[in-house]
Amino acid sequence: MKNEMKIGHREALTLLVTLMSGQVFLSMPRNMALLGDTAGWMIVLLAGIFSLIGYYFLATLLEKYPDQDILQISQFICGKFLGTIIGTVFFLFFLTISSLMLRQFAESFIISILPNTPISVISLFFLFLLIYGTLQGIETLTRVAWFFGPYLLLAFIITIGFSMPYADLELLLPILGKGPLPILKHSALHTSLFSNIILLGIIAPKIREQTKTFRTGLYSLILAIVINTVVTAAVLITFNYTSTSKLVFPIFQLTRLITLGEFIQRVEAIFVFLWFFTAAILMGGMFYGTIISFSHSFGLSNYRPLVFAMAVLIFCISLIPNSMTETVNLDAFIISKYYPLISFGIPLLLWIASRFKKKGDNSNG
Amino acid sequence: MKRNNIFRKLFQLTSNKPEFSLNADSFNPPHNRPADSGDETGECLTTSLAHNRKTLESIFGLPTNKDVVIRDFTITSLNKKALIIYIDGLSDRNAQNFAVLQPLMLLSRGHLETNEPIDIAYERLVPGQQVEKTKKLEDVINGILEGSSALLIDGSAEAMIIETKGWEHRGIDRPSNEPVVRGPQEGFNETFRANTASVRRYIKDPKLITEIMRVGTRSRTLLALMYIKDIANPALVKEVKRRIKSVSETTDYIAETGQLEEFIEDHPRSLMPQMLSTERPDRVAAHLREGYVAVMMANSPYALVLPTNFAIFLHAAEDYYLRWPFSNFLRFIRAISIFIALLLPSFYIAVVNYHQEMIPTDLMLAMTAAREAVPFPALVEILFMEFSFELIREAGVRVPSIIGPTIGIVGALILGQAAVSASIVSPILIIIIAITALASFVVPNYNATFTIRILRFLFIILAGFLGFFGVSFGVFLITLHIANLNSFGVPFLTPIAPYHPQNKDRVIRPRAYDQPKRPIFLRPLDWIRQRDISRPWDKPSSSSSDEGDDNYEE
Amino acid sequence: MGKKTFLAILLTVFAISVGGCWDRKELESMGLVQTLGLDLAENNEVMVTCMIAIPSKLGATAEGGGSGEGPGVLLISMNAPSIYEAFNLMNTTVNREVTLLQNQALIIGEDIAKSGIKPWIDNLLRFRDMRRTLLIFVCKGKAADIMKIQPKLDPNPAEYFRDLVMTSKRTGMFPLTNLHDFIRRYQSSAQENYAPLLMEYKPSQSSEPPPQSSENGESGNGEKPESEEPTEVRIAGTAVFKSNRLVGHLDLYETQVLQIITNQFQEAFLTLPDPLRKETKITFRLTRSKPTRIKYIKNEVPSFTVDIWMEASLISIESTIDYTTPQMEEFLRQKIAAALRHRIEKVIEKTQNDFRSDIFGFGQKVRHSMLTTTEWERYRWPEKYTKSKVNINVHVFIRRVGIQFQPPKIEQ
Repeated sequence: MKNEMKIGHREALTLLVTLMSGQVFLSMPRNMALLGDTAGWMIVLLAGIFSLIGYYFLATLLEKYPDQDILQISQFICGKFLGTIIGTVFFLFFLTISSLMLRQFAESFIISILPNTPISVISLFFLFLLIYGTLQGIETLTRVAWFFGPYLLLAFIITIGFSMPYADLELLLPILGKGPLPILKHSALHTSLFSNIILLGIIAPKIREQTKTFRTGLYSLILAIVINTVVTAAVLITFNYTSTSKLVFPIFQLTRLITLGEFIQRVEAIFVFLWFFTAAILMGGMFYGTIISFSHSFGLSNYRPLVFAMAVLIFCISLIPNSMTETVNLDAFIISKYYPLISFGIPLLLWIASRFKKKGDNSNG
Repeated sequence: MKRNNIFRKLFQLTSNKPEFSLNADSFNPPHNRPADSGDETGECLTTSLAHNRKTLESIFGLPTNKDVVIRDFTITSLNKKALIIYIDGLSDRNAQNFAVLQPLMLLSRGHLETNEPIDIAYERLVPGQQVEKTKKLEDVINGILEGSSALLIDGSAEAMIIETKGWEHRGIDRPSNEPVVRGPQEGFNETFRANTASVRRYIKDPKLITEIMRVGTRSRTLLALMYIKDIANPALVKEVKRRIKSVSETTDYIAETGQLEEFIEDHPRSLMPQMLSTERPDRVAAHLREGYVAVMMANSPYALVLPTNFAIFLHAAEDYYLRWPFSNFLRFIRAISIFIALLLPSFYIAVVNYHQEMIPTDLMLAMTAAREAVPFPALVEILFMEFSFELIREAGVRVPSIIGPTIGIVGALILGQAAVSASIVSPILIIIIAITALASFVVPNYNATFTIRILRFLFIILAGFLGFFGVSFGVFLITLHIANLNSFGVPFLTPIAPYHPQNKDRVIRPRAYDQPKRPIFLRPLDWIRQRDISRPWDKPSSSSSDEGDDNYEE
Repeated sequence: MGKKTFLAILLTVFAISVGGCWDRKELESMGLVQTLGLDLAENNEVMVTCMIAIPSKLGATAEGGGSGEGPGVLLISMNAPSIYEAFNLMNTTVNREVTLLQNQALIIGEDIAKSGIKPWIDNLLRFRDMRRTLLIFVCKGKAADIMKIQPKLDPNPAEYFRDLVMTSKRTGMFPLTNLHDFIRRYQSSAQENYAPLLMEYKPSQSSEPPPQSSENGESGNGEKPESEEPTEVRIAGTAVFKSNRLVGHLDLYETQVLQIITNQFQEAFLTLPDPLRKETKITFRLTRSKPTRIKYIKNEVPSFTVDIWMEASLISIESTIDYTTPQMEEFLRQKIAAALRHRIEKVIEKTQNDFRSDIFGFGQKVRHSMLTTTEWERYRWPEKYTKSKVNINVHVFIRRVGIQFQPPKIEQ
């Protein structure tokens, strides 16, 4: 087993931001427009604020027990049996997200640039990268994320900037969309947008500066909230809300509009180049989460043999939904209601349990 | 056996002479270790000159081996018989005549009584500037093989090895493969001492240490390990020494630093070079000063600087000799050229075969019109042209210099113009190939160009298979591989990832006066190389940003 | 990597590649559609007309360039229940795969526009090959006939259309509509759709009545001569839609008004009768100065105040009256403002009464004043447009007079 490799906090930040922003390439802006009309971006913002609250519990837990990831913490607090159950829940969580993301990203590549390729080929390519990356450890993935980070950000900025000629800021009015109450309701239900932050719980022991864990997660969450909100708003002001709620991949449509003079037209394929990196890093992180949650909750010392098996499992599960619409529905509306329960609810419960445990310890000794 | 003989006789058309064959009956597969040259003797020097002489004759294969010469004489003042033994051609006859033979034979006057003639000779009689006394036969043999002369005196079990090296060699020449416009024009040559001296001229620091080892059991090539003692990380030096020592006995012939590179690098099968091989002493000195370690070998004009990072693809020797805006301009061009050299043909294939909408309409119509006449699909065209370009390149290296220009004409005319006229390739492809080739020459390191050349083919195939998706896949794969590569403990992507804010020399070069710390990733012993205000005459405008680097804890 | 790993990877690669490259298309196997035309055919089918580029004639480096014999494009029409099935039918005679990758323009025939494009709009939206940067035109008559005309200045008709539409920045006489704008307006009830209107046009035929001047801000409509083969294509103004049907058209000068109000207007020439000598004319160059501002006042009857700022430069004075003094400029300003106002009011009236469609986008302003989208959806703007009041304020500034002060006078 390789020696202890540590992740720098900047690299971890980039990884987490990519994890939480990758979904803008899928149907997320459309889902938000469907739920909130012109105030879709507000739903994202409010969901982000709610998730900040949820993050607080996760971060304090990690600070209280440094050098341990959330699975080990749960085993420590709740005992071996309950901890294993919690670990299994995490494992299922990561597994579901990985499979659904794999399916959605593969579909997005097929729809946007490779219409005739069978989905298994694209999934296999992704899986190959995931396997190769995970076998080398999470540090490699974070380094790659940091390496590509600025370019991905630049791609966002270029996409949004160059589609500004078609944008009209007034399309965001009426400002309250469907009304304040539906907005609040939907944003509370959809904090799953930022539930990927739980990966911080898994990679926390590897961060070199343990004191910076809290700030890393916080900054990454804020940055992700900003990116998600800005992109959703950008989509809404380019296509009005009725159009946006009907687009399959809004960012793809945005890049299709980019026209610079006579000769830079129809250049969306270049952006696919950069989306690929986002997709690969996102799935790499989630895949790593799957494997580690399985191996740590069952106390396995080496996770490398699991990699191939998990890859096959994810591939098969990703093919379960019959069609793309089913996948999007599952991911955005049906299953995603449970994500926040796991990624924010479980840390909350653990936090409460840790207060009791502390009190119990204090009273005993 | 008998049948074989009959057949052999039947098919011998010329004569009855037994043909030469390597299948000697006495052929014994060797043991696991390569045979040492000095192992079989197990003998040592005795006080008898005749005995020593016989030992040496048997070791060197005299009198058949005419390279080795033994000159007997008598040392007048000691009245003892002596001999020197040396290799003709490797030793300088002037030094031998005037520094060894003449003093011992002619100029030694008087009469000295002694039991240890070698000591007397060492201290009073032999005016050589580098003289070594030894009792070991091995040292004598090594010394002779290096070109020194070994002096043996009757009555002494010690020998004296006198430095008389001198042979025909190439002088210090321009570096042939790393030219710069602005900067020193001296390179290494094959002489070991000239190389180490060249580096010493740049760093006149008493702490610059040259450790000498020998590698190869039969070749006994001299190897110098240079580092600055109070800068270089001792763990790094120790590791390098450990690796070199352990491979020095396992093989019998290590010719050049390139071969050594393969023996001691971390990932020999990877496509990325993990050591910088350079022909320029100024580059070696610049790296030594930062805390790197340099390895030089005799007969090799290339020195190895290790460890290295991705800068091998991007940083050239000239970058620090030019002003900041100019060298950053060059760096920028180099960075773009790397992408062009690696990805342009695959972009072309991806666009032409998969994403045709990206091409502006007029260009597309022109390209389609041109391609209608060509029978091959675009992928075949590109592979064909790339392959022929590699042919031109390789042929250009091997071609005798007299017909050198012919190859240029042949390449340009035949492969370029005629191929287009014969409708084998389309004209836009020639442009793509030409730009790619030019871009690949911009890479400043010979090893690195191979990486790019090989990877280019991989990318072409990936692009032909899945368009931009394939290209992104390839780029991500390569980046994953690089991110994991360690060269002597230093990750290949340093200082981008892991990120060291204080080492600002990543893609863009920082100002020469704004680099107060040495590269952190080497963990050098002495961090500081410049004072904070390194242009004191210009106080208000000089400053050095000093972000705390939290990846390195005190 | 060891031998086994290498072998495993090699086998995988072979296994996958045996399936073939699914998306690979060679350039010469593609038939590039440059312009697409839609007409109504019988049985509710659509007649799709394609202009397929012939690369050897249009490609610049091939011998024969654009001056080869015959047209540089291949025109082909097919009837089919849907647009994409027509492509399949076309592939029965066209030997290349008909693809919309380089499509530049979409021409909608009058008949299909009048009967409603609702059945066909989803066709344009859903399939990946249709891009939102397409230019949309509506044409008088059948699209197939318009597309038969080979423009003279540019061998590639699609480039011709694109460049033609780009000149609208100079004249403001026809709008520029992308598929993106079209669909955006289609899906919102705040603004109705409009598109440039194409027609056939014979340039040097004397039997054609000359386009009437811009004195009253009317007409400018050239009628198609019944005889003779038309040889040019001309943009005749704007086609106006209500929800998804074509209800009428605005001519060139009325379109300028549309452009002014929707803020697309850049510059144009304007000729007015000289206010002091009505039989002579005076010409200006109008440029937009500040963006148009529309204010919505919420009343029983929705009312709007439109503020328009223009800059005018004198171009020519036919009568020799010296208008280049500040007082005369002040006088002229009022006259220009009044003339423009008159024109704009007429057009707005026309859209309110004849077309009953709000192509200017007043509905957007109404929507901005609301707080939630449910409120907006309950409001039903299109029905209220006919009754709304629009007040126009035109502010004109005369900045420059050209390079001559007083007009030349003949000493009598």
